[in-house]
Amino acid sequence: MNKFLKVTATALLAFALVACGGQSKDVDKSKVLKVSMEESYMPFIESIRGAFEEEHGITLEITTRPMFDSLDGLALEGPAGNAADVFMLPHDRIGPLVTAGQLAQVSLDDADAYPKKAVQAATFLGDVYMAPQSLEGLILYYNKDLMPTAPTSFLELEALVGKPEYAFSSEEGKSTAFLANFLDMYYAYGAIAGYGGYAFGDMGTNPEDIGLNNAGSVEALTYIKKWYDIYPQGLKDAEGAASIIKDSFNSGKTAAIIEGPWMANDLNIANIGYAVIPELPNGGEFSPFAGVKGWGISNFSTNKELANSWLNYITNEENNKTYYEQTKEVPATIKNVEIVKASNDLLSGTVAKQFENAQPMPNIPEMSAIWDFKGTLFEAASGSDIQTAADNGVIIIKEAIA
Amino acid sequence: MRNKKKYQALLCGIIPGGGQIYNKQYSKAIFFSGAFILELIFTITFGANALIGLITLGSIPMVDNSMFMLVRGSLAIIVYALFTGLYILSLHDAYKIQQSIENGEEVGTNTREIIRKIWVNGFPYLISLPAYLLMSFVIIFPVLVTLFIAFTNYDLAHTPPANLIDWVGFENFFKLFIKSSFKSAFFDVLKWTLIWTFFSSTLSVSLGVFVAIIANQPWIKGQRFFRTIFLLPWAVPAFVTILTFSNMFNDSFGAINVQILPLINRIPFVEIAQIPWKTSANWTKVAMILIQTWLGFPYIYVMVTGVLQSIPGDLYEAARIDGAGAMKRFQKITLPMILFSTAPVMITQYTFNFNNFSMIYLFNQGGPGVVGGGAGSTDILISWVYKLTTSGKPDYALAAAVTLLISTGLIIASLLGFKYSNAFDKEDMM
Repeated sequence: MNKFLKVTATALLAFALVACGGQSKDVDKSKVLKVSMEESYMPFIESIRGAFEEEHGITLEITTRPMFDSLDGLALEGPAGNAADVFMLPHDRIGPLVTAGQLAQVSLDDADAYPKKAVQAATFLGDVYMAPQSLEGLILYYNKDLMPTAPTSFLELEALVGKPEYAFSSEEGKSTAFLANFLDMYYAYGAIAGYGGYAFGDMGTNPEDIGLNNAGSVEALTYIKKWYDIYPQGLKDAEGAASIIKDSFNSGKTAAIIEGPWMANDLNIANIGYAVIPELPNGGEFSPFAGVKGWGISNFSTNKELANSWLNYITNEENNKTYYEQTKEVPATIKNVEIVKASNDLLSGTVAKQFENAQPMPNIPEMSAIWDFKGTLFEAASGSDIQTAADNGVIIIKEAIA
Repeated sequence: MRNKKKYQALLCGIIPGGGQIYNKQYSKAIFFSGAFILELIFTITFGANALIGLITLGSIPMVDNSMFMLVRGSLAIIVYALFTGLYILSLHDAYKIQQSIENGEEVGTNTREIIRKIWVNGFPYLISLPAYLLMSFVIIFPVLVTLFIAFTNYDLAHTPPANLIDWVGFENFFKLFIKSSFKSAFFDVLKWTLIWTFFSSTLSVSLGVFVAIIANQPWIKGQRFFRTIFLLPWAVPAFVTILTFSNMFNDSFGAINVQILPLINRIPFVEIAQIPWKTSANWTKVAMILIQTWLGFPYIYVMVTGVLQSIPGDLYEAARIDGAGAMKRFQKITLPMILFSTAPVMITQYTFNFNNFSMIYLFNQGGPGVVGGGAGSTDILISWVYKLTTSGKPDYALAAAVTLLISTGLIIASLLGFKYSNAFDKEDMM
């Protein structure tokens, strides 16, 4: 009996300790703003947080976390009260996050300070959900040693094909003069838009209207197929193509490629040039998807007003300029964009210039179905009938959306 | 009169603890009625709300979180199941103890006796109890939640807390079996999954057995060396291996097409064209089966080597004297011994490959090209489920439905497999 009592008592004590050990102290929530962002932005935040903390008499609680992790975690952490109040997000996540009720509206102090396209990218169903911080998009990288001046038309790139220095030895008739991963919808879209196709109608807000199988789109796909007839077979592997293109460019076998600013560090050749993507053969502009990154407010935040002030503070012109200086990402305020374009920073300047031709990716939740069009791109590049492939692609998208 | 009396304790046991009181085992009675009171408390504080919430899944967005309700409801169901199990135990105990009393056996009535009896008679149950408890919360609980999700419409448009989830019954299953685009995708993926499972497992098992038999022959020199070499494919993490192979199989830039095929083509009269490994669905399938054979055989090889070494040599001697050729000896001695010992493991090779996500996804992301419904042309069921849950427009309910189908199929197949291979037991082995 004694032993039994002892054992039971110990067990109960253990349970009690465990149960009571989890109490946390109550902190005055209104004095703290929880910020989540990637590690690389820490220097930037550190340099500007002081003024904000003083002005509003609060402290910033900063957690460094990969951007997509904190966005994906919102669904569970938000209702549990553990999510950050403010975080960065790419604009195409706005649709899904708002539909899931995880993003709160933002009121911008001065919407005119940002390029119209950036504000458009931050708007969903008429309301603004993000304060724009930076812009990005695809540009043309070219090897100045092989190609002294930047090409202004795709016809110039076509002229390079056939030159022996770009011929692909293992496969006859193939050339690596110009490479781009057109099997990835993100890269192909610029051509599709340039020929008159579009993802969603009404400036990317109408999911009922998909323009990926109209006449312009089919023309664009035919043109893309023309390139894939020239590319080595291995380029058709969309996942591996990026590193193939990079290696080909770095080893001097390719004169020009289309890639994003994130690739800049991996491209090491002696004389690299940046240019706006050339005109398409039909005279249309290659309009790639533009990406806008910015700050959003969690819908579960208890400090929404303070969060809003933070958003306006961190994306104001002065801090946006500091952001650019520290991260070299193209800033999203009109005045700073002009400064960058005029500066010596050719890479960011080119991205900024390209932004004028670019279209913001639609931010509606149905957008993610558009990436499935890569099946059509693959079919088209492999020789199937293009109109059929495009029609099938649109059917697949419509069914995914339904 | 006697028959009626037999069930007295049982009838008393309808009230928790009653049976034990009838049997005069008061401490057990306190235990069971105490558990019942706990159950009542549980119901009042959590259980009733959880069950109601499970049925309705909420009615006000942003206030009612449907997912939390579903999860709480599942938890409540498990707890009730445990309590019900305890109740059934009390009935069983009451009946059994009454029988023992009638048979004149000693049953303790003081607490010390009772505990000692439980410890002695019920030891195996007590020992496995913690594991079973853990299992119900760690394994059964998530499975139950997944089961429920398959009957809802949980997808991006119905994400709590801003939206409510609703029960939709068998609609997800209708989608898979009747609605055209998902139906063709489902059957295409299922077909390939079955073909993949069969070929990759059979080839890797056959290769493993073959290599084990050859390497085990007495006239092979340097057996240790071969043993190490053959173990290498298993030693290197499969993740890394598959990614490396993925690069090697690239049509234009990978080592296979650029270096190995031209080398083979140097043999006179041999002319193999460049193979579109990753841009043709069929060649991708061939490549994946080959790679999986390579990855899977070391495990079988090691196992079978062990079995071979345990076959007594005089069996072969006797067979040779009787005039049996090598093939006959293999067929009648070696193979049955191997299968008998390793049949369960062979079966697990099949179930492993049925769900071999990393191979399919890492090699070519289930591509090239698509078959609709979010599935690629070389996707197997599990990698399709992955795509359904991680695409920008996820359909969790459909993914849960497919998962249930996978699980049901695999469980049935495994049970059949184990049952059939155990039939070997009945034969006279040695």
